[in-house]
Amino acid sequence: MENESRRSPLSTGIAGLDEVLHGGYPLGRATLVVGTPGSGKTILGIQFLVAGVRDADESGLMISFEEPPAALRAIAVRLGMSADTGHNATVMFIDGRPMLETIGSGAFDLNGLVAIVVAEIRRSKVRRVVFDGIDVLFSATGRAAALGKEFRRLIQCTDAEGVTSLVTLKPGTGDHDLPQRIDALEYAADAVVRIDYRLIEGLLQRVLRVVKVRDADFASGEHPFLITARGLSVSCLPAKKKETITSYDRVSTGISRLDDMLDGGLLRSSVTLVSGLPGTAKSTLGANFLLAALARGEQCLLVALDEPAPQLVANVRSVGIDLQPFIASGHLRLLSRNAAGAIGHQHYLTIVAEIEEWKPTTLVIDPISALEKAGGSEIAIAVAERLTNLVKERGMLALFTAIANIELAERETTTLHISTIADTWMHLNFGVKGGERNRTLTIIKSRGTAHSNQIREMSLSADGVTLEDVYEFDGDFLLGSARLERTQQDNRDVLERETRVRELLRELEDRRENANSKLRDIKREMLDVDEQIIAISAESVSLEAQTTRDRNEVRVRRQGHAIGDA
Amino acid sequence: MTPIAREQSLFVLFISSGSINSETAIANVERALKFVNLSARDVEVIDVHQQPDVALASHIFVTPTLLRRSRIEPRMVGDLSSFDQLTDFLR
Repeated sequence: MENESRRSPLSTGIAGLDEVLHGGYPLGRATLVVGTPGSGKTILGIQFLVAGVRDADESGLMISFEEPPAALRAIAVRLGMSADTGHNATVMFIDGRPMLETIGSGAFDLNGLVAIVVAEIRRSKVRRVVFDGIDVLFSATGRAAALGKEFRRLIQCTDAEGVTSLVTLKPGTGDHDLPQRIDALEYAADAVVRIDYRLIEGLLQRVLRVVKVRDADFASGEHPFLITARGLSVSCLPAKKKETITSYDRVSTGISRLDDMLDGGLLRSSVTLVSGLPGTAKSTLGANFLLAALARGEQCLLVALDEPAPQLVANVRSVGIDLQPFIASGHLRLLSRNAAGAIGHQHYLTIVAEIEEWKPTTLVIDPISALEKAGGSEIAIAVAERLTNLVKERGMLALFTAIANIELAERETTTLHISTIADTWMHLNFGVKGGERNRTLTIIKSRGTAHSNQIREMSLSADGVTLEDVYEFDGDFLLGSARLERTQQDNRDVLERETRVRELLRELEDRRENANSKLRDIKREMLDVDEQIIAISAESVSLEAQTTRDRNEVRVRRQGHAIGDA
Repeated sequence: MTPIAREQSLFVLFISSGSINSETAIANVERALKFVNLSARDVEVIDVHQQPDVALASHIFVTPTLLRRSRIEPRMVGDLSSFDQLTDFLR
């Protein structure tokens, strides 16, 4: 067996789990699934069987020791199992719940189960079997010690029949020897998957971990997963990066001058991060980006993690960005998620499900930094990383906004980390000029693109977002390469210079006046000091005279001589 | 519920041929029968491997299992090594 090379695995029917298991469950072998109550074992099992019918026209059999067949059938229907699939294959359910009035009396074995299952496998050409909640048989009879041996009996039978099987069980309570027992089962099984859930910062996170797959590799570590109406979906970050789509096509940001700064626009199959303080118009820039994509006829997905997406759409209308017609025409979909309401991976999986179902080509997430509220910075970064991989695998165009103050870089770990993943990073800020606060835009980096490093003024009007040609920086004027509207701009420059010079003069006058008043103060202080010096000198002279007089008086009282007496 | 036909014995003992548990259970039942004034005719022994459909219909996942023909439960599960429990059940 050890020398046998691994047979091709069998798809689990669960998004992401195939990646974790490098293909699926070992074909024709048993996989043990260990999970606490409510962790999703039963759904995992049913998904495997439903996928068998749907994708491989293979019949499946589930023997449940916990739930009635009607409830299981309902789950199967919800997961896409329909009565008339056009398939010959089907999923059968056997009620294995122990009788309540069972008197345990001595050693037993699972030969009854083996006989029933073998008969059913042969009769109905079953290729997949799930034993759901096998621990119940043993706890009901108080003979947990027999579990290991009977588990081996069971998997020997399914292995011999060549069917692929799942055996699920709960770690259980009240049996102190159970950890060792499960270790023994894990040794016997060809693959072991553990599923669990826990609370992270008050949010429920479901996690899945593969303990072993005999003679095969798998993605180690904990993989967060989600249970939705479609069943489980596992978030797997593959160790090896998948093939990504590289494209040299330029696409417009929706702002022609920004495109100029980016040497023609953004690359398709890239992620752009737009960071900035609240109010720097990140969302507006994102909406403008969407509008450009929609104008090209693309399908777009807007994910709003802070304010609800319709609110965002209403807000950008005031600056002339009308997304409403595209929502109506079905080209733009909105997905509003309350970031703090679930763990980051759940948001991720929801976004993935939406992308897989609908296949948009442009994605905007506003703001991705809100994921910090969904379990902390580490999770936010991991999710951003996964989303970035997804975008590139699919050759999409994505823009993420993030609230950040890059002057406080050490506090902005999330945004800074995301910026390292992003292909293009633009930072929006406020610049103070001539007593006004103006929005500025800087391209901090743009991979694979000759880009301008100027700070530009960005203005919002009823006509949308525009970039002004020039913006002053540290008192210097930086001239843009785009001198397309030179005449207009010259006037603007002159005006700007004049304003600046006037301001500088006023400033210098202020400084002179300041210095003058300081000078007056210093002169006054010097006079003051001189007066004090004179006063103290006079005082010290008179003090000395007084001291001499006092000493003489002491001598006289001792009947000595006065100083100066011969 | 139980489509167990054939001879109308009072009890049915589901076993798995060749298993030590089952052989022990058969021996224990034979010994107990005398004490409750029953004969071997009163217990039908069914091998689950020979009649898996009967086992399924009677929810026999575990062997050995002893039950009355008329009712699916209560039932006794195991090698029936407790003599007192077994005679109580057969009475």
